Amino acid sequence: MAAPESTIMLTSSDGTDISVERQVAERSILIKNLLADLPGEATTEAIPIPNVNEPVLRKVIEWCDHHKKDPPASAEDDSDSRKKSTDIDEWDQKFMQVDQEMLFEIILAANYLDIKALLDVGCKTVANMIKGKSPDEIRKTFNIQNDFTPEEEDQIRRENEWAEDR
Amino acid sequence: MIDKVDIHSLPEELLSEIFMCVEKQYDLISCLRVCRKWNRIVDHHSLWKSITFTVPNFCYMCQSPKALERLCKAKQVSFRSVCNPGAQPIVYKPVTADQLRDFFEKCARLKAPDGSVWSLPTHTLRIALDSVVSSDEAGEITICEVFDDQRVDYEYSLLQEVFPNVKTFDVTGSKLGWFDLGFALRAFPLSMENLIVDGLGYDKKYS
Repeated sequence: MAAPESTIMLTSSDGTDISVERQVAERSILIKNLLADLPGEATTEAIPIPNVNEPVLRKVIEWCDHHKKDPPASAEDDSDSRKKSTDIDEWDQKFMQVDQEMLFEIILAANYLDIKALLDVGCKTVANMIKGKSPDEIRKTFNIQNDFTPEEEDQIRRENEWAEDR
Repeated sequence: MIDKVDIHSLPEELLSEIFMCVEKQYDLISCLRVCRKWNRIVDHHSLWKSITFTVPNFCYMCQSPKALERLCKAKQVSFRSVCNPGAQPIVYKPVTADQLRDFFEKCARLKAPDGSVWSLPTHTLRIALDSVVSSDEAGEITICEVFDDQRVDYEYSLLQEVFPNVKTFDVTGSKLGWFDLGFALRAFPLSMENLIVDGLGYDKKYS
């Protein structure tokens, strides 16, 4: 077995300290860069994560822990393959079976903490919720107000008629 | 908690990330129609990487500047043929009258010197509108067939960026019907230099 992992402390927005393996926390580029900038002893102090509350932070850490052995995402991994919504791995799919509030919290946290892979999983999950739905069903799903005038709606519908046969 | 987090909490760049994960254009088009904010974000060209349409619909699409703009930015364009010989031909307006005339003239010069009628194909037809373009020329379109139940899909992978630069249109061995092909020809950007139609299995006059 490897030597005991060094742990660090994170403080959630609601003031809870959570201890995390450093390797796990470093899935977050934000935290990784922060730690790299700190002198050795300073890492024993808790790092405040002001934008993320405890339940969300724990959830994010759970994800990071599961994915701690993943190869780090390359900086310019902008390939189209990354964006395929169909390929969310099974564990991630289960992980994302949460209510919408948590889902969007995770997306926001992943974005803030700069965890690209988690952000992708979150976005793909939302994309999958959009899949196959009519505009009205999408509005219902996400509680979105239709703010088009009937004329505008009609125009957009006509403009896109060419692709509407499926 | 006072502020409930929902989809409205996401900044636009995150919504954009989500739309990038929406693969099917039908779904993207639904997104266009959800609300003003979504419409504005989804309309951004970079989201439209891949566009699929039926050939008659393509003609229709040519009338929508926004749709055309999207098409020109798309990295991949797919044709979906409506291989239905019994269907009533629907007449759509061609791209522009001038382009159409130009195209028909070029064809007429090559194939039908009387200028009024030209024929599309017996089993083999090759029209080289200008010089022969080698296969590695920029802007070539290739078609591969994808069978999906009764439907035949034609996938055009654009090797070069934009659609209007396409020089070669090759439907060799495809089952593209003369009817659909007619529409394709009418609508196709007319800077095209090569048309290769081989083994269609149709023998129809097209005028």
